[in-house]
Amino acid sequence: MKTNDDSATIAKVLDGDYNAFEALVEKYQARIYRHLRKMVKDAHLAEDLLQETFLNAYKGLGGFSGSSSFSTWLFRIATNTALMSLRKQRPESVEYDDAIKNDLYYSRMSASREFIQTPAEIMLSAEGRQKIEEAIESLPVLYRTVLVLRDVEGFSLEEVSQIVDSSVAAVKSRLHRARNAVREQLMGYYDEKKLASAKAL
Amino acid sequence: MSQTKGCEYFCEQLSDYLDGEIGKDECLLLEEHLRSCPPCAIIFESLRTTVSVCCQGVAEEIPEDVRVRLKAFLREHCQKT
Repeated sequence: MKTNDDSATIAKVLDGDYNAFEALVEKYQARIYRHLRKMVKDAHLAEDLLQETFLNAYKGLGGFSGSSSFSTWLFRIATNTALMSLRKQRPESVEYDDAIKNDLYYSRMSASREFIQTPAEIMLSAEGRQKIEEAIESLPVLYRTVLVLRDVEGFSLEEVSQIVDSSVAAVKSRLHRARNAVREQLMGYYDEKKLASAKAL
Repeated sequence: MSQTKGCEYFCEQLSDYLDGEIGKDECLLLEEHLRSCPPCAIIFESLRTTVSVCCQGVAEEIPEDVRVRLKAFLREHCQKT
């Protein structure tokens, strides 16, 4: 994902300018917090991991080579910090994470017009946003991580593969399944909504 | 028109297609299929809508108290390094 070049700010931090580090924190804290909230689904844990992520970034900044963007490097630290925490606290949530694999056969892909005919203002209303959040949060952690990085944060597939330390092919496969799982949930929701309003008439 | 076995092959490509990750020839074949197969065209539109609403529908926000505690935490711990 293209972000402003942070190299000048990073050079200042490495020269001992703490205000420059605070500028980096200010720039990225909301995105990192959102990413961590989505990964661990717990506000208190996400806050702890947010603090740990930026502290690790500060300590490790001298090792940032610039071969990737700063945002890719920072999201990689956040992702690793969250995965380490999940493996420690809820190992089953990470180790058995391929549950979605057998759950999305093509035969289950449904084609309904209700969802695509729903106006954007309804899908992006408070209720609509809640449904999007719920659909994403229902995915296994490795799938929702890839979907959030690509479709919410806007990283390229190559950048996502660097952040999650997987091949681009594995990222594509997870993304395909994650997107379709979210699609099925949203489509089911808008189909039911349409049915309920038709019954009410 | 009902979905055929070929539909499965094309639908497996839709996510890559949205990302511009399939070759030119495959792209043309897929687009031709989508024009002639309404169920697959709906699946594609719904997938495109899903990506679009995920992009726009997840708020980027951090509570003020979390922001304040992060700043204080880092000031305290970064001074020690």
